Amino acid sequence: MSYDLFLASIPVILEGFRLTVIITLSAFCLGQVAALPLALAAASRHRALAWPAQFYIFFVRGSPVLVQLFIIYYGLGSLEAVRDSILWPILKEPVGCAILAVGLNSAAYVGALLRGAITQIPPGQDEAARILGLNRWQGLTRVVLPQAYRDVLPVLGNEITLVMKASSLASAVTVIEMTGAARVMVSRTFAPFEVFTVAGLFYLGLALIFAWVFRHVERRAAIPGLSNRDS
Amino acid sequence: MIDVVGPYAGQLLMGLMLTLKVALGAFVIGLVLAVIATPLTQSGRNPLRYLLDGYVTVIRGIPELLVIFLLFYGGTVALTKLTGSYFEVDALSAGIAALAAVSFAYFVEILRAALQGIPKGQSEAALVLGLSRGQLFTRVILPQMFQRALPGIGNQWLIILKESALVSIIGLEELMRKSVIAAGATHHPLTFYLSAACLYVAVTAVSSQAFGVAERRLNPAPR
Amino acid sequence: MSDRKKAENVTQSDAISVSGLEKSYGSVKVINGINLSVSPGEKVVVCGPSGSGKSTFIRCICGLETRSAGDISVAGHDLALDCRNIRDFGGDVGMVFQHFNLFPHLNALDNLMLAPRLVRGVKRAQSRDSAMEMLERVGIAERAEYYPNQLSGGQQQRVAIARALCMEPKVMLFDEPTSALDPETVGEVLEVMSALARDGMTMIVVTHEMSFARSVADRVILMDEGRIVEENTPEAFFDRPEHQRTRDFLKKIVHE
Repeated sequence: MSYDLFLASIPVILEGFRLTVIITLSAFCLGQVAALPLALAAASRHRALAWPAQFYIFFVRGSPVLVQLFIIYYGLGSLEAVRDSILWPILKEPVGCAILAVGLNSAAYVGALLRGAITQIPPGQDEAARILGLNRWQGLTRVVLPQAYRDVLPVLGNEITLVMKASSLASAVTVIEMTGAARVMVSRTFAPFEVFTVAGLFYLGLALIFAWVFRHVERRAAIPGLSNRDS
Repeated sequence: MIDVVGPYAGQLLMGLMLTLKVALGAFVIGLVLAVIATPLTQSGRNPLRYLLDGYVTVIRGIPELLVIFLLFYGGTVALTKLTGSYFEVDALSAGIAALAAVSFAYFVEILRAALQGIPKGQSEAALVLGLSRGQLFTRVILPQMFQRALPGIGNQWLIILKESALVSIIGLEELMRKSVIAAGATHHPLTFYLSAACLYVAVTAVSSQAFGVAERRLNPAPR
Repeated sequence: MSDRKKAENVTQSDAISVSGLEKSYGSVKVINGINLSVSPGEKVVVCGPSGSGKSTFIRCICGLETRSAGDISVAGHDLALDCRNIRDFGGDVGMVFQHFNLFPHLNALDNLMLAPRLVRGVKRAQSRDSAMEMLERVGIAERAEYYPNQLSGGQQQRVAIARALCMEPKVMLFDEPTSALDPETVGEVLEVMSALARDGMTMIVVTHEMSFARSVADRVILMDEGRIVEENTPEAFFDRPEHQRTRDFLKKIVHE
């Protein structure tokens, strides 16, 4: 292991760090935004809503993210209709496609999670809200969702780490985030151990930051007097 | 669409076979190692335990792709240095080794949780009945550990199946790679990537069902 | 606001009116033709063996259960068969549940303030004052900032009663309010309910607490197999029951 190569890798990996963070945060947010309507649809009594949502979750969770990425980047790009659409500026960029693919993938997992949490809230809560006069929207946003999100919060902390790991797939479509940058440098220097170790350390650092943030959020959101998990 | 995929169907299925090979290899190796390692490191202030903890933490925080690259490129470099002559690690070995290394960590977590879920009273009862430590382990602890761990193990199998697609990036001609080749040859990327996705979904769905049946067999519902 | 005024000006001779109520779960007839009229300020206690349909009955009245047939009018609102318009009631019907159904992520005060602010648009400061008053009324003002999981069962139920009262209901329904409570805390909840009765609230209470029925009820009803078996003043009901089933039921209650 060469110490010089180790040090030399750091600025190179750092350049990719920016894109890793951008992809991770964007994809995570996209996933969160898409997961809620997906969960509500999947939990709905109307089959027209529930079946497509459940099928989406089933299909996306049953196939690799890499395939989904290629479907979006190469697959959609081959369609004339897509090239003429307003989404094309996003879809022709590998970064945009990576964010889209990882985000939509995350949405399926988080959507399934949220759906479970929502359906597990005792029906008495909804009854009390109804009888007090709250309308559907109020019952959802003030009673059901605050409880459902508190239930899934620990798993969300894990999810953002998984999204970070998935961001490395962007390197498969020419994006120079951390994994991509590392691979390029390895092909130049033939020093895989040094370079990949540096990349690994950066990933670990990022994962630690995410874990710290979520632990903080969990503590702030916790209902006093209630211990949510027995670890 | 069938006429496009048709000629390549055989290739895709061959790729699928290789996918299953990789996944199975990684699954078995990872699981067996975890079954050996977990009970050994359960007891108290074992230095091995801290090593294992550290390993699990690292694996949980880095992309699987990185591990694959590390073993593929790093393996070549290391073995070349060690043997003195150019020794190239093949994609299949690197892929199985990497996925096994990753799944080993998750299996350890799953088995640990399963182990901790077994009430302590079991060991006490067994020892009082006169069973040896070895018998206690193989006849009482191990079966229960597997029973509790089965859902987690089943889930990890699905994860490994999907992770195997990553090995296509280092050139292994499993399902993903085959679809990339076919897409390139026919200029029908959407068709082939969707077909690949469908094949993955089919395999994961069948696996899910199979594990579901196994779980129900092992955990009969209370009458 | 004007709709509520309208409802008050039209003098409803009945606060609650039920006629021909029927409900089936599939092929099982749970409620088999019930008629009931409750005048404003009247207190009605409903009792009966488990499976008699009394819980279903009271849930039908407030619109939490749909019904197969019959008309229901409560607090000036006609309740649709499929209960779609329950949210239009705007809290005019208060319901107290067996398992409280407090919102666990809100403290007692916020539990009380939620509906008035969202449904009636009451300003925060004003709803806070009203809520604190209500908590005092049920004797739990010092726990205003406590969360449900930090309160005992009796305290939670009192908060639940206060929460319903904050919407200024015309009618209060109670579905076995003390059945899930430890015996020590049953008394404090019955106290609150008695005080509410004394203040003139129209109430229907499904309960096993016979002492409460004796002291508070204007009418006691026995339900069995989805029908009203006996309906009378408390004295007549307990001391001179007319039907055998009533006598059987009373014997069982005494021996529990």
